[in-house]
Amino acid sequence: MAEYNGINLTNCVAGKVLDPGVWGGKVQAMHDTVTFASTASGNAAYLGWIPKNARILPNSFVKYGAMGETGSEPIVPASFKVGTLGDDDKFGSVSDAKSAGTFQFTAVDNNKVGESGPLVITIVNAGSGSNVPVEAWIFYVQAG
Amino acid sequence: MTIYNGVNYDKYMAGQVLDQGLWGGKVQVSYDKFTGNVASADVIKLCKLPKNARVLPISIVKLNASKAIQIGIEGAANKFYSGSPNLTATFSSADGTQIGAETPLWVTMGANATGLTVEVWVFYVQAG
Repeated sequence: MAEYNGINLTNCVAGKVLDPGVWGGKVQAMHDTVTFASTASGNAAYLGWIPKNARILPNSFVKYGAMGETGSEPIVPASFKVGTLGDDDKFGSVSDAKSAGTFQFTAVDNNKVGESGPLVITIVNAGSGSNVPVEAWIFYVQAG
Repeated sequence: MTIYNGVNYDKYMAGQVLDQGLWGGKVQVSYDKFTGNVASADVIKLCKLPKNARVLPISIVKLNASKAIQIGIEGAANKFYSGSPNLTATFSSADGTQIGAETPLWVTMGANATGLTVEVWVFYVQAG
């Protein structure tokens, strides 16, 4: 049986001071809501405010109402992406938002977000839904 | 209608001071990552949990390929998770009990893996 250490445990054992963003950082939460009056393609919502160089945690999620679908053969469900002003799908995307659902940010890495700014939700494929509620629960740690 | 109280709500109502690890504790998170080739039964040590921390079941493990793993601490290999996560999984077995002495997380492999990447975000509260 072999034993290996993670990159941060290796740094810790070597006596290096670690960024609190990766080592015992205090978890902060942010919540915001918005209503998409229309789910036309390109419509966007800005939610909350992510501090500069925060690290978004993979427990973060977005709850959304039914956005519906458009077209007839093929019928295309509404879809949207979730990101920042500089990277509009940084946290992932939902390819079928016809029905209400929850999207968890499981695809995030541990990178810092860079400049501060809002969470951005952008409609990709239009839906038939109107007055669709969207709610964001963002968990993050502040980087050192 | 009958009303029941939780064990901690009961104590709170009785005026007892509750351990912050159970009652309004500040959540902390540590992240670690390993990449490499491993064999079954190998152990990957990640992060370092403070003495008497309570690991929360919202903690997340992320693999680049589904492999059988156990996550725990020395002497309790599957304390927090046992299974084959499909890329991500939460620490479904974490029950919030105190871990005892300071320790890293132990990820014990149940299979060989080439080019494996393991990431964890371990959420915990400090016990009183």
